[in-house]
Amino acid sequence: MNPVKIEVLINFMENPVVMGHKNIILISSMLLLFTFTSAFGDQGIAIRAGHILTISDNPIENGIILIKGGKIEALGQNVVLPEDVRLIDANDKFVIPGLIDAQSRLFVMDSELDESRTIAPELNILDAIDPFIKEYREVLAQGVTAVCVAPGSHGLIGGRSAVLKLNGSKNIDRMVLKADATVKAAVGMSTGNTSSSLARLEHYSSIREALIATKVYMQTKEKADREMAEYNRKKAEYEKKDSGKETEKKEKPKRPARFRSSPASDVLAQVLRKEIPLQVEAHRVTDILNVLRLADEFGFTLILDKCTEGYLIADEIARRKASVIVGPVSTSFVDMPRLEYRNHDMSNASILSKNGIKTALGVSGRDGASSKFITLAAAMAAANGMDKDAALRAITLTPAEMFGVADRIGSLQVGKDADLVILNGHPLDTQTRVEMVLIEGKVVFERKSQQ
Amino acid sequence: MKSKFYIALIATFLTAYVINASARAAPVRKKLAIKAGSIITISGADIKNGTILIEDGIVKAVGKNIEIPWDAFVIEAKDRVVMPGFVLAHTSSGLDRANENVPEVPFLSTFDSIDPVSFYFEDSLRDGVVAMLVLPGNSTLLGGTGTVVKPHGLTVEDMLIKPYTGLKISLQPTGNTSRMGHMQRFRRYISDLKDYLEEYEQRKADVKEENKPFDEEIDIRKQPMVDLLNKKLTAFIYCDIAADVPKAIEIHETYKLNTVLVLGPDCYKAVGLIAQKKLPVILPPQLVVWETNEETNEEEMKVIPMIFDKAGVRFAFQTETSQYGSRYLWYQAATAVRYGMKREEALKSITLYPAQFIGVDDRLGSIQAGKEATFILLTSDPLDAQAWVDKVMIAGEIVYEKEKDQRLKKLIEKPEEVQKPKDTD
Repeated sequence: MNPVKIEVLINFMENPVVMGHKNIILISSMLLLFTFTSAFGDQGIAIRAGHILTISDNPIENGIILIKGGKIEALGQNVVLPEDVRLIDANDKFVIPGLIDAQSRLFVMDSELDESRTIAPELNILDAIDPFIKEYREVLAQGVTAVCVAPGSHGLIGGRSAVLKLNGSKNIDRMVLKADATVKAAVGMSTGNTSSSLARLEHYSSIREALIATKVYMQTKEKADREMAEYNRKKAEYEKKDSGKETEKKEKPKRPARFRSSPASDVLAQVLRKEIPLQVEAHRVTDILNVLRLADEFGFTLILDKCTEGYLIADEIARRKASVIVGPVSTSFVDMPRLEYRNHDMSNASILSKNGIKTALGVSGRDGASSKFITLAAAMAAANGMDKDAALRAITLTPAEMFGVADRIGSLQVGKDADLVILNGHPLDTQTRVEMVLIEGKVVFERKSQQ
Repeated sequence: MKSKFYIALIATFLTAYVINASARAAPVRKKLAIKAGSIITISGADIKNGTILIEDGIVKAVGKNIEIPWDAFVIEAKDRVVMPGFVLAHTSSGLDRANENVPEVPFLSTFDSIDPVSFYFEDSLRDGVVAMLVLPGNSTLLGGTGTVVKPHGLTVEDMLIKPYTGLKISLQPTGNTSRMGHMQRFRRYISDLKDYLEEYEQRKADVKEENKPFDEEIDIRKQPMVDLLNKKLTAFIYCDIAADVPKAIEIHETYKLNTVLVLGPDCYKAVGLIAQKKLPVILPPQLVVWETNEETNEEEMKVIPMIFDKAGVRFAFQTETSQYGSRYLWYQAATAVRYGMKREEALKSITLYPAQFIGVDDRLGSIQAGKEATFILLTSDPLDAQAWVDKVMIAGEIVYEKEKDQRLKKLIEKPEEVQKPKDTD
């Protein structure tokens, strides 16, 4: 199947435009193509693969993956192949779940960096998404099928992040796998070439103050709700008495003052109720410890982002059961433009994961297209001591678990979305090429012979 | 004494009335008939050698064999093409200043900012535009409400066609705001407004319960946004880039608005989304853009009106005074026709459709019995670059004649030979 044709088809299905009579031939040919593919969709796709790296379970040699309705219907060595499926032959190839970049800037517009407010949890990265960019195709061609995009580290609490699929849709609602995946915060970020302890303290205490204010807000809201319920009850009682010919007339209940909700506090309240994890970018030991203290005090679900000096205090992080997204895994300080990276160590991810910390890897690129290097990040982490399977898990299932989308993506399991990548070798081998990428059972990339 | 005074008073009033009435009636002839070589009605088929009958500034009949009443004044226009005047659905020209630097000013109105003696209006009339919606500029989140005017008159009151039309919303962030912050600010404004309205209604109910008169009015600074939510005002949402279009659609659907999209040149990429929602669109002034195809690495021409026309989106053209070609509405339509758009549709996009978008299609936009007698008389086809606007009639009154256009004369007539200063030596 030609991916370009499929792209046209996807666009056509999403945007059923009204066309003039001149285009009847075009429409009919598209309809033909449509029935053609929908027939495939109904019948399903089967992939016969040499090596299936399921991530969640043991690898399967010479197995079959059966896809129906965009989901994985069956998986294993003894899957009975139905007659009417489209069979993709990948006998000598590897099949892995679609890769996830946990620190992506793909689809995010540059204007996102312009926000001047510092505590703004109600901001939503989905308002800064440009679905019309073309870079996603080259990222997709490297096997990345989902990215987590978060507001930058310019504000202390920058807003809410989201997990997006690279399904080529121009409709943001269809791209979004999960909105409000995390609330992004950052502490101890230097400005320019200076970093100060005072700023460090200020960041810590500003976030703490916001969380304390949220606690007060939650209590006030609860009280207001209670009072309102009480008022409604009394009012009903009063009106009931009023209609009946009761002689003893009670005093009319007074309506409590209206509670005005605050979008910012509502988001932080979700963090405190552990409904959304707080993803905090922290680099230096003191900052990481500050964040861990905040987690101790307020009990939110913590994801440490970047965590450059995390390897120095791996035991502290492990004790709190915080998860970590390490990135960038790079030897170049061009990728790490801030002062906070100066104690960067290539074995960070390795040490953290060996201490039993849930560790994901991110590219943390400066532009959207950088997300295509996610396998390189994992390969370099593996080269610096990280277990190969752990490194692969760190760009598939681990981030999926962190962002609460492991029921849909991250591993090859029956019932999950059929987002998968076919490669001609092991994914962490630099000689390996991506042959084909499927998202929800649809071929979204196929390597042409000369590519 | 007293009775004499009253008689004098009545006499004065009477004289004043008569003078006033005659003064008013003088320029508008009650019954007019235009015998035109060609009539482009827009609403129906073109008519060759037809007649338009006008009474009190309103079209009574239009057609081929129409009997002309004995008392009608006949305008002979055998060699002229008569068509409805052009309508411009969106402009920020002719204003004292287009944008405020405060982001939330929905209570402002262009009525207070229109400059009647601006060259823009004079030029527009010369180019055949008879109505335009003047809206605030594109760089204010809630910019204010617009005014429909004709480019003729010495005061804004004279020019007025329809006050309080449309409210400008711009999705282009300005200053130190991200797109996230910009959207959030908009949502915040509406949620605050809804809080306010709820509390207002509550106060109203409370006062009513106590049988007291309720004299609190809705804050006039909030009134336009209330009217927007009640669909009394149409939202003109400016999308700078294609990524703004999904956000505009989100606003349109979440708050259930009457929406017209005002697009930037990049927005053609979102044509699918727009077609799906069947939203009316005002195209950018720049109609042809070039884009590099990443696969072939070749420059590709994108003709914006064709992209929207093929997708079945109803649109209006707009003009831009700073760009030479996009200055003229007829040129915009001609460009679209050149690249394959149907002539009828292109002409509708500069007459009837914009009139519909700004809510004046009951009066303007086509030549039909019952509509206002507002036409332009052209020397040849409207899409022909050699055509001149010979006369403009607004509501039965000739307001422009090329012959009397002194400024135009200066431009096209041969300059008088400059006399060389004589040698004094």
